Amino acid sequence: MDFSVKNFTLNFGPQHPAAHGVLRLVLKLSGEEILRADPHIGLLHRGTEKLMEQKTHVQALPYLDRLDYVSMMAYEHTYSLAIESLIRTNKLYNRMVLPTRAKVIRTLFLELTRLLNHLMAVTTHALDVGALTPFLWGFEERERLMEFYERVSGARMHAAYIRPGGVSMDIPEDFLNDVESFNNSFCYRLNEMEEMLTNNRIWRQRLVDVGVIPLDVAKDFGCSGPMLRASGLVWDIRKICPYEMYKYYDWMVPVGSVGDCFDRFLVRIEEMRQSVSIINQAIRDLRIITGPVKVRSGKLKQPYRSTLKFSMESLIHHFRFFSKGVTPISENRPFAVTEAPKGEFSVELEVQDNTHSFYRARLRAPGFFHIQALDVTSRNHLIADIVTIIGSQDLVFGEIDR
Amino acid sequence: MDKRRTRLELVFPFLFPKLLSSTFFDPFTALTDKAVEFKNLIFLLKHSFLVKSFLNDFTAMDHPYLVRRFELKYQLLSYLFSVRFSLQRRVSSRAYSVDNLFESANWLEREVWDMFGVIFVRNTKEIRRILTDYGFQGFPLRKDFPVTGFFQVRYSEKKKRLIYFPLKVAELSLRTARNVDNI
Repeated sequence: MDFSVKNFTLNFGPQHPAAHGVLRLVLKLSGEEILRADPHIGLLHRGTEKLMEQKTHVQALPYLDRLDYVSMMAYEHTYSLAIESLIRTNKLYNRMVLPTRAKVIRTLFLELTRLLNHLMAVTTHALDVGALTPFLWGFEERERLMEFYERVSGARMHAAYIRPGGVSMDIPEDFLNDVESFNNSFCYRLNEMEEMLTNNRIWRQRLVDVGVIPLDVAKDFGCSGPMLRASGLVWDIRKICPYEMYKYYDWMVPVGSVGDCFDRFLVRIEEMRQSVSIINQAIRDLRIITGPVKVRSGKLKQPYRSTLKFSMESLIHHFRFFSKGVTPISENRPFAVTEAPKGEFSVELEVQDNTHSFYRARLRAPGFFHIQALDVTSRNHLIADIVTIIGSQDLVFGEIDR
Repeated sequence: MDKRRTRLELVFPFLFPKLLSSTFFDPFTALTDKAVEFKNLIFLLKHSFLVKSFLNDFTAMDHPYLVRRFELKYQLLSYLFSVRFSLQRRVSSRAYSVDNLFESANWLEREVWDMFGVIFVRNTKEIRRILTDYGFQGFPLRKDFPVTGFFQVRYSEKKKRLIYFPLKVAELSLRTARNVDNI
């Protein structure tokens, strides 16, 4: 009696809840073992790069919010940095230098955004693996974070708050007290979440030694952020090439040792604790530092309405800002790279003379590189493990498909 | 970081003056049109023991009026020195694939093929479309591709599936922000 054994091809998604959006994963299975995973992405492709070419520098900003819709401000911040590098920001151009208060507010919101993202990443990961409760706790906290977004910008998610030349407006009164009380209680929420998960036997059985990415493989695939740090490399762009206020604050970079899903989970949890510390330091600074939250120059932002009636130059700037956008002074290819919550996000723009839109805008999404590594990561794992691996990669298809 | 830089300069003395001025934000740039030169340089950056860079990003740009129409831009990152290298190359329609050197190259090349229509030869892995729809035609990030595209999609009740048919709206996108005026 002879049996013929055939490999089985399975479509995972695009409507599977554990696919975190619209991932179509074609799995080639031998029994329950994965032989090959072929991710089909692009189901959320909106042509952001092409659309940005049609807009002025200012109009293109909100597209960046829509890229990664769980950590919005981190992406618009990178874009703002790129635009600011269009204008030479050295000491000679005093009016172009970013005020310190704007930098601190940016740092505060970047870290709040990191909490927003990691809460989503960790708790939905737990949800996929089978723990529902942290999800409910985490999303309660996320709601409070999005309230902070709403209080400064009017929008819960797509804030367009960090803009070229500073932030759109100063933080409201009593805001810092509320962030501080949130921050203090958040440590306890994190402890609760860790009590639930870290030493949980089921959670460990599902995560430890699953989806190991060795360091050289992680580097070769261009992984960044928690994915790279979990594999053991101390690599954080906030330390390597500090921007905003990170240089002045006291914080550490958590790294893993094995590079499995559990390490990635631990790195994210520890990063949240570091974020809490950075937020506390930013609050302390914001209580002291006063002043404007935008550059003085009218070349990066719209001039104040009150000056419009008296100053000819303001009027010219106003007109040029709304008809042409930011006026490029130095002709170059602006480039900015930051440590977004998901990893290294970079914006590369090509500005040509006499135009008020980009010739080319390139957005490097960290998730694009992570999901490329999914095939090697999930090989010879069981089909249940692929859910764990996708969860630990923290995929959001807004940024992967762009 | 500065100490590590000096080690790099010992290895590549010819890069020395440019490297001093390059920072993490402002990568060291090399532009070459010769395939051999490019191949040697990228091989060196990848395999040299002291530099050991990895392909961090790869993208293209379209200049429709040039013969060598596409400008390819490889961005390499050395974790050891925290330095970026940006290698640029102009090609007409085809280029050698680098996916035997870097694992991350395959999807990036797939994206450039999908968006610009640059053909990558001598590839070791399959290069097919990645971001656009199955059966999509045209290369969206080329400058002669209008924002509205050439086709529109709707669900056909008869065929019980999505169908493509030629675009019926007036072509507005040629009048882009770029062409309107130069105020």
